[in-house]
Amino acid sequence: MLSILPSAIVDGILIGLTYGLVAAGLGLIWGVMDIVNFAHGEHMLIAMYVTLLTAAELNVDPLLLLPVNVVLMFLIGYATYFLVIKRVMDGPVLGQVLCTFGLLLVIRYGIMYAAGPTTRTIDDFVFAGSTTVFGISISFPEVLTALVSIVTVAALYVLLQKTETGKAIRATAQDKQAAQVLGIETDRVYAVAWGIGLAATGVAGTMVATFFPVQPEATPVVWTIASFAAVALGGLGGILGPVAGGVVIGLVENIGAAVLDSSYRQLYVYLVLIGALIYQREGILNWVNS
Amino acid sequence: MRFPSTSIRMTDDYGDNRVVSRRSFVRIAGTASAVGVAGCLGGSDSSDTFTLGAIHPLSGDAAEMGSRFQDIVSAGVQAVNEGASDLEPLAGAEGEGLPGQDGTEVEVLWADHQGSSDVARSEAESMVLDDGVDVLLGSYYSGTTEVVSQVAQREGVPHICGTAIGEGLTERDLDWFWQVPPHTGVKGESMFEFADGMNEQHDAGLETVSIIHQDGTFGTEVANSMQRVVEESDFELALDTISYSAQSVNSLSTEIRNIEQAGADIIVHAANVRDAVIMLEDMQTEDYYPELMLTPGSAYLDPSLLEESVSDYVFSGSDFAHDMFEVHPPMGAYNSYSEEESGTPFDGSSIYAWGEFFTAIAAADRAESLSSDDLRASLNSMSAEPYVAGLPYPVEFDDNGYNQEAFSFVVQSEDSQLETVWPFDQAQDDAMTYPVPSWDER
Repeated sequence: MLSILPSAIVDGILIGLTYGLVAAGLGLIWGVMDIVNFAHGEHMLIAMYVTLLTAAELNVDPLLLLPVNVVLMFLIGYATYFLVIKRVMDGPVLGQVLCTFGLLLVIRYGIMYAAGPTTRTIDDFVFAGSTTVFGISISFPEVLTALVSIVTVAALYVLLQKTETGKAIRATAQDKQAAQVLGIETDRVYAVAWGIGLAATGVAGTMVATFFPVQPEATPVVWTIASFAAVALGGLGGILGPVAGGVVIGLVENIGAAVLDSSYRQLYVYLVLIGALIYQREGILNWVNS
Repeated sequence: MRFPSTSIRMTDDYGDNRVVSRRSFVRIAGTASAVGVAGCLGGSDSSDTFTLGAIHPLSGDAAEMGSRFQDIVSAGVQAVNEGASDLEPLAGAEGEGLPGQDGTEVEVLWADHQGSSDVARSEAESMVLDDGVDVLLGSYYSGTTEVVSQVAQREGVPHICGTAIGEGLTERDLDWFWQVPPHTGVKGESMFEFADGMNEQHDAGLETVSIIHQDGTFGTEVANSMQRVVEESDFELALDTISYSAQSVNSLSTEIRNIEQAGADIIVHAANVRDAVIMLEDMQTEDYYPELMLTPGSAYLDPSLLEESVSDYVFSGSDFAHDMFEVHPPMGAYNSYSEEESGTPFDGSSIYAWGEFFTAIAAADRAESLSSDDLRASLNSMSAEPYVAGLPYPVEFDDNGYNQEAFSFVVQSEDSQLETVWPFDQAQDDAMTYPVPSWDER
């Protein structure tokens, strides 16, 4: 079992970075507005289907669709805030939960109605294939996705830390009323935060579709569960926490499967998650810093 | 309210079958109008119709397959009601309506159990108590089939199952349940007889087996049956059976490395389509392939998976192959009819729905009357020759209601086609590719 440990570690880091990218968007929306987007996996599904269908119909390489999906998902996120989320922002939490759960159903079954329930994969991708390095098999699409995740998270970090928009988002997240007093249009900030959060799912959906079979009901569940766990583990209020959480989850499930019984890989993840929630509620980064 | 097979439900109308559904809609609208007019003229009422209640997954993961079931059975209904003498010896095809029941017309009501046992139970109760169906059909998953059969037992209505292959389904002392297809144990025996044959005739040197499965009811049942078959054979398990979450799996690389390390010659994989794709793609990434990838069918026979090039050269237990029409010409005629009338040809799953429907037709046609007791007596004494019930093998039930003539052959996939490779005497020349080429050689 130990001889496959290096491969498991590499797999864990690669898939963990992807979890992190998906979780970053979720964590941003959750942290800024205190709203849990239960439709996060379904938003990712939109980008996946845009990629799958466009690549198949127009013979376009999925990578070329990356900017398209970023813009598209930003616009969807921006519009979703004004059309749906804003109306429940000041209502009870249950209403917000039901609202995003409703979005989940509409998107999931809307896609199923339009595209069918078939499991689909990308046929042609310029970076398809794999290689072996020091006895470790590595899939090119997964490596590329991990690299894109790092770049995207870095870009999000810079955006939040260094730009006026980012500062406005952080200020609104800290104290909405104070931000309004300072002249920040908080509604617009929220809409932008939704746009950025979903744009991250646009990146993730495009890249994940290059190596992961997509099915309207099953696929969002996989990524939503992973991203919720990553945010819970990594902590709210930042971009890096969910990414760190994602990597930890990827490592735990893959190392656990390699060293222990692979049938219980989910159990290992949730044992770590429960332990982390009991002993460090503020998230991994907070624990590291303290 | 329930709709006849020829009517539209939401779940019929999405995906790749939209064109077919529109055609169905036109046909249905015509049929519905005709029935309506007949009703106004004092024509036949529901008591003059042999009504079957089909409970299948029409939404969720298996929705597309359920939609194909509907298409194929709609062709079957048409063959019986309008006559299709070219299809003889198919039960009920020689004239308009059921010949043995004075031309009684056939109608199928459909319900979607959504993969849920609770929904399956309520739909079965509704079909029996509200709609008064004569026979229940379905329902693909063993879990849902179990509860439907419990309703059938309680209400005294025959339940014919042609689509679920759980081994223990007929071992529950039920009087109103009949299972038509080969169960997982029979499939496993066929699969490992084939592996034995590979050792004897092709000097394959196969000794060890690894079983990996999704942790749902289907995967677990298959794994248990396969484990029993392997333990009773000359083969050995190379490592403990591996399971994984059907819902959350996103990689099987670690499991594949464990199997590779254990040196298994044969991998038996029970999967849904999505995890079958993950398995094969991860095997490609790991540049690993066993001597035989041998599956109990299901996902590995699904047309959407067969379109994936990674599925080439997989061996599966099956009741369907694209070349079976050479050996079983009537099956070719049935397939052509289905494709022409419904737009949907047979595949590894939908052929079971065809057999399910025509087993009911064969029983009804030779029954004394369409009362539950007479239908039950007809099923218990049934001895249908091959093709009569729409299947390449006979249908004759044992005391438990299991079709003791059910048989599974072994097929190999290549270029989206399934070719028969076992029994060896039914295989076409050069149908089998063995040894299976490595990933680099494909």
